[in-house]
Amino acid sequence: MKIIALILSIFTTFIVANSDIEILKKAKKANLLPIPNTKIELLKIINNQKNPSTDAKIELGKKLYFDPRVSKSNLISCNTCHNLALGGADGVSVATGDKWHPNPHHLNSPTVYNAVFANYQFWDGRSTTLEEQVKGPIQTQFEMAMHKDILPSKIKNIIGYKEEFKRAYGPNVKITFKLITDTIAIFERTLITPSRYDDFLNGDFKALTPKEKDGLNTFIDLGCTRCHKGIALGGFTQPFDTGKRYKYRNIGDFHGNKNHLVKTPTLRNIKETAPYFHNGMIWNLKDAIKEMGKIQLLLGISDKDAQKIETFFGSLSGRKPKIKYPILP
Amino acid sequence: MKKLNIVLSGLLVASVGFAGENLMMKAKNAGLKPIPQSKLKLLKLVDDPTNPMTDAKIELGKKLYFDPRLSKSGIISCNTCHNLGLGGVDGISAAIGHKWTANPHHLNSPTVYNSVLNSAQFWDGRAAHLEDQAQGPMQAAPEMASPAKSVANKVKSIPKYVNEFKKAYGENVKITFKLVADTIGVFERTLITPSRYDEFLNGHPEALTKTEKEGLNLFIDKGCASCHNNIGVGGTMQPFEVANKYKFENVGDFKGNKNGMVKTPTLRNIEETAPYFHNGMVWSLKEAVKDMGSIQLGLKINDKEAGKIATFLKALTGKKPNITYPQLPASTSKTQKPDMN
Repeated sequence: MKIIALILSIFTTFIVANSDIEILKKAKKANLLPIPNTKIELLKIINNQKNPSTDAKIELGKKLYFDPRVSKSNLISCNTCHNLALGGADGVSVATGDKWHPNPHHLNSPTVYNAVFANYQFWDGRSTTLEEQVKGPIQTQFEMAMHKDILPSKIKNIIGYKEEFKRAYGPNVKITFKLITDTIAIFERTLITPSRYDDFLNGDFKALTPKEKDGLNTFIDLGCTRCHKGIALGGFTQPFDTGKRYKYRNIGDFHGNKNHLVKTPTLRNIKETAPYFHNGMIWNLKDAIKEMGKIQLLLGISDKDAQKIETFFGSLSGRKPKIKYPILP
Repeated sequence: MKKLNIVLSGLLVASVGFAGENLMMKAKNAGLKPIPQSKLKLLKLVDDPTNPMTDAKIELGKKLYFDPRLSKSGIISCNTCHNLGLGGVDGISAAIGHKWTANPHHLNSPTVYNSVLNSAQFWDGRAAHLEDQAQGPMQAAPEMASPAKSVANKVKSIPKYVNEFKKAYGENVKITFKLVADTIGVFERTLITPSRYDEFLNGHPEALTKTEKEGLNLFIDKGCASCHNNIGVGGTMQPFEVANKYKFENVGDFKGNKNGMVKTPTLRNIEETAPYFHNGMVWSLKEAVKDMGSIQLGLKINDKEAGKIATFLKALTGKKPNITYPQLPASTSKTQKPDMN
């Protein structure tokens, strides 16, 4: 009897492992890639070769990221709209900035977590690096509204910052708008959140529950991975709203770049970054999954399948880096 | 020759030491007291016996303090105006809140650091303690603009918050607006910042430089310590414009409580909390020192003296508690949506 039980249990383990290997193969074939689990491989991806990461630069970048004095009003920091406590987003439909101005295109703030893995930044993908991206919101009237010539002098007048720039870049450092934004980007490059999904793709089959594996399977089978792929599970620009119409397409005037391409948002931490879509009009994740199926895949995704995929998405909530709230100079 | 040198230097040390001790006595006699060094004494001072501190309450209070979803818009947290990265304030003249509304009385956000040491909260002292204070800005239309009920409901709609409340207060906890504010109060009670000034008062004369000691001496001699005293170096209700008019008295309509009394702000971390005065109209610390001399003491403090006092005041910049930025539990479909209007 005992022997039979033993054989049975070995057999079951074998079957589970076998189907796990199948899913893993399938995921790799669908270009789903984990965040590397070795530090060196990870650093190769997130490091900016032109301005390599150092502890001093990261710490300084963190301070600037959290500093509301980088804005015209002294009230809005990068963290206001890309709140590291709230999945790297602001949790509101339309980004709201200086003088309570909503984004004029009704655009939603994308998460900063794992943004380094995206090939394109901004909803229309107009930047290819975080360094380029950072320059945008700081200067935009309805965001931080800061003039690019004023920011460096504001920062230079804060003695503590001057010293930290010297420590990070040497005594002859020239504090320019570009260097400030580059340094913020260096900090943002560290904001990556490995999750149980990565553990699974890295070979830990127990990291996902059977339901999550089932959801992953459905996610691939339905074709979601045609756009949500790579390490970022997104981050490429893709045609949007070309077949069936997005039901809130008339909220705001955003219709992608000049070729109507839109950046596919990352799905990492998606459970923490509602509301969804470029105009933040859908609050429920299952509704978002079904709407995407309809618009992009011309599929009616059943309630049951949407539920499975949503369950899988839960495994994408990652481990956030521990951040000591900075005391600003 | 050597002997003489030793005797002389011994004498010098003794006299410096003596001067340090003298000043320490003088400070104590003027009612200046340090933040206690002993953890137990400190806890007795900052703890609220009706809702004693626990790690679970402090951690939960921290999350609520940093959570902008407690505001109507979803984008203003306690930390927006009382930024722990910026000396516990916002660094602007008049506080700005919901819909970018400026405080209608042109009032400046006071620091949250060491506010537990105040005997009254708000500029007009209308709250006796932090728990009561925390209820104000959450509901005030020009601040976080959230009705009491909606704060409680938002928290209750997030299961992880409910669990944390259970962990902090037991299985049968009833999450009310008051309990949310009380828990924020518990966290705020931990925000104290001991400084070199405290080290000095705790018996280490070398903790302050010569100029800082001169500044402290002047601070006492001029009479500043008659209001800025005790552990908080302020925090009590006092008459304002005792001797002369404040030059910006017409900016905003704030004139104190019904008896014209105004809360004396703490001077701890004052270097980091410009602009100064209730309406945040003075940006230079030296200028603020001079103005206070004229308004409250009827004294003309000269530039050199004001410089020394300002140098001393910078020794009140304290060591901030180490705070890990929290990960807030995700909203659910039941969570009330943000409302920008």
